[in-house]
Amino acid sequence: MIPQRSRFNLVAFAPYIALLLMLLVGSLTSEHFFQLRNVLNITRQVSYTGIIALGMTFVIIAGGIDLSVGSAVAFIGGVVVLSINHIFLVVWPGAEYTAFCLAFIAGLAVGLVGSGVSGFLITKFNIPPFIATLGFMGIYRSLALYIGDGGEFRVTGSFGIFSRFGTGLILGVPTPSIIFFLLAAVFSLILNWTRFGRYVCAIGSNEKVASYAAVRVAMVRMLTYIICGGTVALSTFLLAARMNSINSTNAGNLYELDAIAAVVIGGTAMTGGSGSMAGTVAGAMILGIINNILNMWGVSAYLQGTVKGLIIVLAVLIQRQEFQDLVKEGIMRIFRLREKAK
Amino acid sequence: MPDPTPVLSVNAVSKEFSGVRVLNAVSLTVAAGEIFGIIGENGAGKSTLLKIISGVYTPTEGSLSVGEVPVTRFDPQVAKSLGVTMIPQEFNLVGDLTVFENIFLGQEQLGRFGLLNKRYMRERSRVILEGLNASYINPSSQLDSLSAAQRQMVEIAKAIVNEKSRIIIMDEPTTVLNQTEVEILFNTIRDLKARGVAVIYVSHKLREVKAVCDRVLVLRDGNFISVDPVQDLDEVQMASRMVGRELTQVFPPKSVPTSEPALEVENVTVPGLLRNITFTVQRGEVFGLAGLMGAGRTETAETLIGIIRRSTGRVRVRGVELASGRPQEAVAAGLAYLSEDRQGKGILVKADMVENICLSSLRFYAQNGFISNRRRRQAAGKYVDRFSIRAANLAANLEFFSGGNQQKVSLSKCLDTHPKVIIFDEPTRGIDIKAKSDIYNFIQSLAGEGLACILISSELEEVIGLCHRVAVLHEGEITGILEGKDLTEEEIMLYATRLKTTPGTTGGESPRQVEAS
Repeated sequence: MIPQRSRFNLVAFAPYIALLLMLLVGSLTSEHFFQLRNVLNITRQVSYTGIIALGMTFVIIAGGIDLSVGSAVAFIGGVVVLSINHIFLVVWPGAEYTAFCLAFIAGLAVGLVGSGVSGFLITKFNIPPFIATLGFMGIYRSLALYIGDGGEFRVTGSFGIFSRFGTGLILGVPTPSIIFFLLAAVFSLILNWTRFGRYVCAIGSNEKVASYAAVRVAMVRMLTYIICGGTVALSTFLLAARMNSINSTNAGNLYELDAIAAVVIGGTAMTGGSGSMAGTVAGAMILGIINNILNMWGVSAYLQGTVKGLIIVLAVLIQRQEFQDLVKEGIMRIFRLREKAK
Repeated sequence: MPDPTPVLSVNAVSKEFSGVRVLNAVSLTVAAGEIFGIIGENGAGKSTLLKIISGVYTPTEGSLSVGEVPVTRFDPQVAKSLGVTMIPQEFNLVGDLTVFENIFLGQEQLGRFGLLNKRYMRERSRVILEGLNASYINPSSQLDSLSAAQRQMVEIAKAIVNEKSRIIIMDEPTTVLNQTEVEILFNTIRDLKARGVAVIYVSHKLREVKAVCDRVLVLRDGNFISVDPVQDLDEVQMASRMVGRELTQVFPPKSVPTSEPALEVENVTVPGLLRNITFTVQRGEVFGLAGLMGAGRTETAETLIGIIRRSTGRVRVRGVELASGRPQEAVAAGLAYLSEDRQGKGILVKADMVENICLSSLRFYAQNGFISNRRRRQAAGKYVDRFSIRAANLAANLEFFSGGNQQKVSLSKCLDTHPKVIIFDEPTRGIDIKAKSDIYNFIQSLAGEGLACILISSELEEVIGLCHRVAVLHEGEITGILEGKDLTEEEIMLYATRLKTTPGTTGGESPRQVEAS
């Protein structure tokens, strides 16, 4: 037997190393960086796309992708706000808790059903996920624009519970951040310690093998999209509560970019098969810290998309064997040159 | 004595694919605790029959029952719940999961709160692997890090972990195993038999069928030929029933090599894979590379053609130095490689023969930048005649071809580049006897035309029957180059396990000196 090549996998730790580097850069940039308020603020800012990224992690590990999440935010947001207004002002005037809960359920239902339909199309008719969710991206945005007439869905009347929830703190930590971290823990448990989680990995790694092992491939894959739709609904609810409104034109704009970036930076393979929720949390935090640092440096907000785009490409590049080999070869060559020089 | 009530009965099962009958009214019964062999050429209908039994295909006609239960819905999950487990020919494992997760895939054990009981599964996997004498496989390793033979052991562990398995189907389970591992597998099969599990054993290796099975079914062209107790048939009889005629000499006479070197390899080293590989192949010679799984045979071939880059060493083809070690250079110099992974690297299954055969040699068919389809078809037709490729027409997609015919197309593709040196990597893996003997004849006739052939094969008979000289590899080094009366299975095994080495071969001197010493 040839001894197996050692499999110390630097790539597996890369997201956490990158996170530490970012924290280092941040602390060098400004003395305000490590102030509790700033740190909590970053966690809150990343929580909205971060929650979606957690759902997206399941989808990508199973070998899929969901491009519709950003537009879905606008549409689901519209549904949530309109439900609140209708229930709170028309159906049961003044019933704050009822309106709050029913609006959440309405948003969740739309998220689950919508992603269920795209998941069904993908698994039943073998439509490439890229295309199916691209279609839904167009559908969601256009419906939101149509219903909202291109403007804003705003919560009317004195519906205080909503913004209290959206801007609230639990033990001093913003509610969205708490939900983000809790959800990450639960999803991590599901991914690593349940059949469903292992099947998601198996399908992403080798679908044929999974189906021969009597795994219900279509069902598992569809569930990943449904979970992702659920996280979109949850994120939207938190976002709408925070702003007390949703803009049909730009709410959720480029959220798919942020969510996919967080997943990929977190070390989940774009080809599917492996990944981790902790990595996705790290990925989301890295993106948030970069934004924060760019703000402190006074870089134009318009340029921040360029930075994110570059980081996605870089993260995928680092995952590629070809790139790793090239780097290794380069390092070896430098060493050899040095030895020759001696 | 086998149990009188059969655990599996197949009654007059037929299967048609778009009007083509690939299985014709086949009946059989298998008793509990019986080892039932199925043999037949490729295209005889073995795979189809197995897929019907394991619930992948629904038969066109006929019925099937497992135990007392008639199977009405053909679905892998239903078959599994009835206790039918299949070890398929290709690996059926998930690279990103660990060994124990693979073993328990689809039959996970749950512990508290409905979460996975990883500790139990890990421990149980360890015990099962120990029972297979494979305790060197760590249940927590990621599957990707395992060798092919280790994966086969995991595959077997996966089949026997299910206590409810009543029928275990093994399709060519020994392809990647060495002799010791085959023995361990046979012991496992006998243990299963003692537990009352029925094993359906499919193999091209008739000696194995003879050694392990109780009864053997012969299929030919989708038809039932015979079922006999294995002691009533010898290997020659089995083979002749498979092909429907008496088999005479399997290996063609060897051609006479010239003394003109076609390929010279000197001290080729790839860190971690190969060390100081040195040999010379003459024009007209068939040169073998033997060794156990993982000894570096395929790696040697891939290094010669430049898929793996060598760090040091020299390679010359008919005196032309391959300086850069890039694949384009090797192809231009006349090196061709017939990959062991036929479907993965050899042919395009969704394309027709003309497309496949002329793929590497398209530049010969271009005029003013346009491809001449007429000349491509003529060329393809020539190979169809020469290799007697059985196909409905030139436009048929290769996915409908048998393994043997696919291999012939793959070989045609190699030859159409007009190579000077051709490397055959496991050219007969998984193909039937008739196609095998065809391929042996081609190899000898190519050598007769002055080509240098390198043969990599796990079947020692084949290496000995075809090659003039054989280099034996062990852990990436040549331990000896055998020829003449030294070229026997025993000698090869001694060198392959490094119980014997020829001094000098591993040190890097030229093979000529070694032979002189």
